[in-house]
Amino acid sequence: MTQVYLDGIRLDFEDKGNDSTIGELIDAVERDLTGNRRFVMELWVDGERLSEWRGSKVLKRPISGYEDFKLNTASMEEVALEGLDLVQEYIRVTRDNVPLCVGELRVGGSTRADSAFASIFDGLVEILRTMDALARGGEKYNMDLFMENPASYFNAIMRCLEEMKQAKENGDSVLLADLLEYELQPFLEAMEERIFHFNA
Amino acid sequence: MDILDKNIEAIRKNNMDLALRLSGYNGEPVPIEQSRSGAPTFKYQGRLFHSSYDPVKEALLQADEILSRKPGWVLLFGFGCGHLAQALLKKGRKNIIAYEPSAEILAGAVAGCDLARLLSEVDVYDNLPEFLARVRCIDCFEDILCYSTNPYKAAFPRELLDFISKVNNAQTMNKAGVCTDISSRDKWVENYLENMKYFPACPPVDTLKGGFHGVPMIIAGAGPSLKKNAHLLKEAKGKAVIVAAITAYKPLLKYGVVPDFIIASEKVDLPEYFAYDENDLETRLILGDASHPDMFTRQVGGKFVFFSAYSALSQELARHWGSHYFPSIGGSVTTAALDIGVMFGCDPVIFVGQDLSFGEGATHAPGGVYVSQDIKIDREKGEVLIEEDYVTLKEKAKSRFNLLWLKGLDGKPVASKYDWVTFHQWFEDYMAHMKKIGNATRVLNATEGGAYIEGMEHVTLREALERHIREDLPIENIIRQAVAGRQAPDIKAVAASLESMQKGLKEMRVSADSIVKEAEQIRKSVTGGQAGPDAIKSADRIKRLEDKLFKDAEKSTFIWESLMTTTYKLKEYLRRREGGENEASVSKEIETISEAYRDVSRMCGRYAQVLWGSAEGLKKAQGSCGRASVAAL
Repeated sequence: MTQVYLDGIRLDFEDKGNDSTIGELIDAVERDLTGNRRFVMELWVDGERLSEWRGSKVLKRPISGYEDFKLNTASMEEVALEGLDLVQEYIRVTRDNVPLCVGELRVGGSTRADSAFASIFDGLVEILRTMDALARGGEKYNMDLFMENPASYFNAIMRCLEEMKQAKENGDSVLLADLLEYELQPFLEAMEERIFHFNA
Repeated sequence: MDILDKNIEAIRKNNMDLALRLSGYNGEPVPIEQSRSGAPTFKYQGRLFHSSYDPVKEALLQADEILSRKPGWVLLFGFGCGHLAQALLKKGRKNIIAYEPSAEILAGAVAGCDLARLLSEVDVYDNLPEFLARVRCIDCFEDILCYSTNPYKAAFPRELLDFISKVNNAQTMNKAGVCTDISSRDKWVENYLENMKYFPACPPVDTLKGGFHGVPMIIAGAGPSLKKNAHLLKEAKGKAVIVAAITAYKPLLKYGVVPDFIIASEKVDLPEYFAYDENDLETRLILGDASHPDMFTRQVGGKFVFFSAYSALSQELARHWGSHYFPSIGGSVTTAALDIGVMFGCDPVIFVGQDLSFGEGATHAPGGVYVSQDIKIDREKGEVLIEEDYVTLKEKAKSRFNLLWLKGLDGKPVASKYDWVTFHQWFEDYMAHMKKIGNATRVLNATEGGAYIEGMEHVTLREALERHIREDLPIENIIRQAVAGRQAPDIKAVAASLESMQKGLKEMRVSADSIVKEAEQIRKSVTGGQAGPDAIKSADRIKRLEDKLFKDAEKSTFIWESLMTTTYKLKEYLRRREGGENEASVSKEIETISEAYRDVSRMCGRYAQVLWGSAEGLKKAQGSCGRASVAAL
């Protein structure tokens, strides 16, 4: 029979229909934890720590195939801080990638420019996604995570992404470099300065 | 004066044609906009060509990238508003030339940007052949960097490829020119002096100037495509002047065609190219003045000579031989034949066998000196390997060339090599020049294969014959009459000129020997990289001796051609030499100078003797030349 542990304490858990999934297990546990403002942060399956398990195919797997599950939790505040660290890291990396990409675009290193641009684009998407999740979590759990409402920056980032995508599709490397250097870069700097209570 | 006028005035000083084109431009120039920094920018085909925020900063970044590669010359594909050229100048870089592929952009830039100062320092071209002519003036030892910004790459991809390929070809031409100079100049001088005894019997080719006005000329090269249509040339015999490159002579005989003229100018003897039968006696040779002397002894129906504009001896003496014509020569006899055809007054001039590229497994048409050929093109290595049986060789000859590309008749690239690329470039330049000067001679390329030659009309030989070859023409009579009216050579003047040159060489030799001695004095008095007072005196004397030597050389400038190898050796040394004033480097400098002047002394001694012999020989031969000339024809 599958054993389930929460922060080292064995839970009285029974997979009655023998068809529950890992996702359902996590949901059930988190429902109970919500009142305590805690979240499942780590998942160990049969002694192996699974990284990046949220939203992955792991959650669809049936429980019955495994011996034991160990779930470690963190408080809402701990989760929020970790999220803020993450978004600041994304911003920092993206900001560092901008001059690299601009330099390559201006001097004609198309392969390196493409690679740097892909990193910037992915970085911006992650920044948006993480900030959105944090903003919604903060609202739900009544936490003051940002100095300004991040939603006010979302449109500007989306517009910038759209313009850059357009410039890229048109093969307009000068416009792309201009957008990165003179619009995105100052915007990221301003956002970093204004939105966070403190820098990680 | 507004911006446009000021810019055009600045362009006019370096490039009158471009100034005229821009003044008369009636297209739609690109609208120039102001960037946030105030510097100009523009959009073309919907794309920005300079930053809309700070184009100057952008250009400085690009200039840094260019300078990090340490080029000797920067060739910009795309001038735009001139920001990059300006940034390069600002960073101290000279040797910049720019080609602008778009007339709209250039017209917009000169109308909307203040470029007057920049245009006085950077040559800008809107015409690729003119640009390439400029590139060919760049010393082939220099490192050339072609640079284009991203917007130009995106908007003009085909033009950029063409640009790079042609610049590459132009540089190859430069290098080929230097190699030819090194390997041939001395031999040409030697041949010329040896050939002088034959000149009285060989009328200059311009004896026939204008003699074939309106008569079609067919120039046959020996390219592989000759086999496709050479059989048709029989129909043109007697109705057109047929000139064969010497390599094409025997292949033409195979098709029953005896050309009216064979043109040759190789410095080496080419006995294997002749038939040694009645065909040889039916044709005439047009020989370069520096051809191998044995070529002047071949038994043919007659011989004409043409003089080279690139040879000081030719230039000095041609008028005494009764010639006032120096054909424009692009390195091959068919290029010279085209200019000779134009000088004859022929129209049209039709080319066959002028592939300028590799055919299927062959470099030349069958029937000539190549018995069999095996050609391997290695695209990855960019090489061509040729293995061939040559009529005079027992073993297969092997050669290897860098692979170059030209645009083919169907627009697709055809594989070529440096010498053909050189000739091809010459043809295109020549056609552009003809157009520019308003020469209406029609030039048709009826090769039916190989490279496309811009400026020529491309037709099949059948079409060319149907359109232009009609009646029988008195070609023999025209030649005989022209030769009978030939201006007699002034042998006395030639001999006097040779004697003057000989005196100049003797003086030069004395000066060169003295320089070597003074250099030795300097070497002895230099210690620890420091020159003593004696060395300084010797250096002063060397300076005076050099001045005298160069003045004496004005009487016999051909000597510098004989010394081409020494000149290039010195040039290469100066290019590579590193700074430093230690004893070893000073000794090396002195030794290099001494070696160069020893060469000068040796060469002057050698040619002073040859010139004396030639002058004496000519004086003795004087009086018999008129009879010899007529008898030879």
